[in-house]
Amino acid sequence: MPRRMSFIMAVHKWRRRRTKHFGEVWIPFAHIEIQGANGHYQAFSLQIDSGAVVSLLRRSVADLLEVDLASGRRIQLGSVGAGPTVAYVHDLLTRFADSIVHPVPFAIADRESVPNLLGRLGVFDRLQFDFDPSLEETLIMPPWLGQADRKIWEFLLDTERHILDRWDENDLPEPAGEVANRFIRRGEQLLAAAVGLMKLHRDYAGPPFVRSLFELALQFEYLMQDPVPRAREYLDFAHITRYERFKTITQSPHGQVSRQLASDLNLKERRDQLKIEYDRVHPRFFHRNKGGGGRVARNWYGKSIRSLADEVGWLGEYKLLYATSSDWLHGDPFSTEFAVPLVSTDPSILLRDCIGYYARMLLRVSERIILTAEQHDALKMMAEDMS
Amino acid sequence: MRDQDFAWLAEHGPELYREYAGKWIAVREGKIIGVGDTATEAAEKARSKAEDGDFILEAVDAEADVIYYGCA
Repeated sequence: MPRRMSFIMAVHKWRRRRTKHFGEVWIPFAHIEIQGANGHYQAFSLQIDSGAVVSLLRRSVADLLEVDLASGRRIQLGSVGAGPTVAYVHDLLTRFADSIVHPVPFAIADRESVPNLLGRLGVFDRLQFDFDPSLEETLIMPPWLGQADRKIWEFLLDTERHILDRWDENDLPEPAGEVANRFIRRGEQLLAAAVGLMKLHRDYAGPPFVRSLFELALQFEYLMQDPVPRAREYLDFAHITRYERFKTITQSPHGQVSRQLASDLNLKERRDQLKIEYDRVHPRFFHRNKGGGGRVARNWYGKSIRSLADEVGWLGEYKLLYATSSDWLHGDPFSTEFAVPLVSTDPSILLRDCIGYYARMLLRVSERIILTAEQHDALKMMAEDMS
Repeated sequence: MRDQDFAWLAEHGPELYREYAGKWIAVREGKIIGVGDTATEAAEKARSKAEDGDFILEAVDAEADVIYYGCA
């Protein structure tokens, strides 16, 4: 029977409760399992409290888990509306989301009249919490970045900021500067979207982003080999796409945009204006075939993505990353045999592939912007350190 | 099973606060199988119905407006 894939993630619904001072409130709860002295894990449901520095348990939990209460470090807890509470801190192995296990310091109170709370120490610094008010639930997940990837990610952001802050120093002649700006912006958007997936541990759906970033970086590489004329081709091809899309939308009986356009009194005039631009650039993008017919190119560079990769020297990556990512994206039968993609099965690899292509684009632009040797070398390493 | 029991707890929050405020409860398969003033008491009662100890324990807070902070 088909089922949703289960990942290392716990989803806990919030709980509604009436309070004395604030009416009805939503309370985030978590389900955790704590190991007792006999090795058995006991399941608890307790309130998540990001304001509590340490997790708190009632006294009887020590008895239940066979923990010698007074052997822990003695502390005093304060609370608003109640006096100080004596508690003893014990590091107890705790299981989250059925599989994430690590020791968490729990302050076990010397009495029962305290709430059980999941606080910050050993919890918020080791796990990622997403409090989702839309669905009234909390997602508990492992952190999305390891230490090594965090360094790479932060360095990329610093270098990107350095480059973007100095964009005006870039002496790329127009319209290459304008087109480069567009490519960098799209690369940044794709990378941010991939990171959004990774933050939610949905990196299994990363192939479309690797594929898109590959295609973007490949086009950019081709563009930058002869920037000005190719940037003109790029911008002119927009007239082809714009007119084709306009025709499709206005001829479609469906959709809100189509209906709005259909009622536009200036529709014919607008179409004629677009057609003038289309006709102006059309001959440059029209490919004749041997039979005398022909067709308009599907893209601004006028060849297949494979041919482009071959021309730029990225054919190996095309075969490994682009083709396999495309298999996943198009639901190829071989690709659906596997629960996770054949490539980028590791979030670290996905991140580095996505960063790698974006770094290549930044590196190309940075040829015209002063980078420190460290920035240049790190960017180069990122551009080359891929799966 | 525990995920379902946790969902059951979330769904039945208002009744739990009304009926069991201040108590410990043990839940399994959408049923409360143990109630007590302490975790040990609730767990002991629950074990008579679930020997494997596979149940969720929760202390149902009597007061929801207390804010705990800091330690010294």
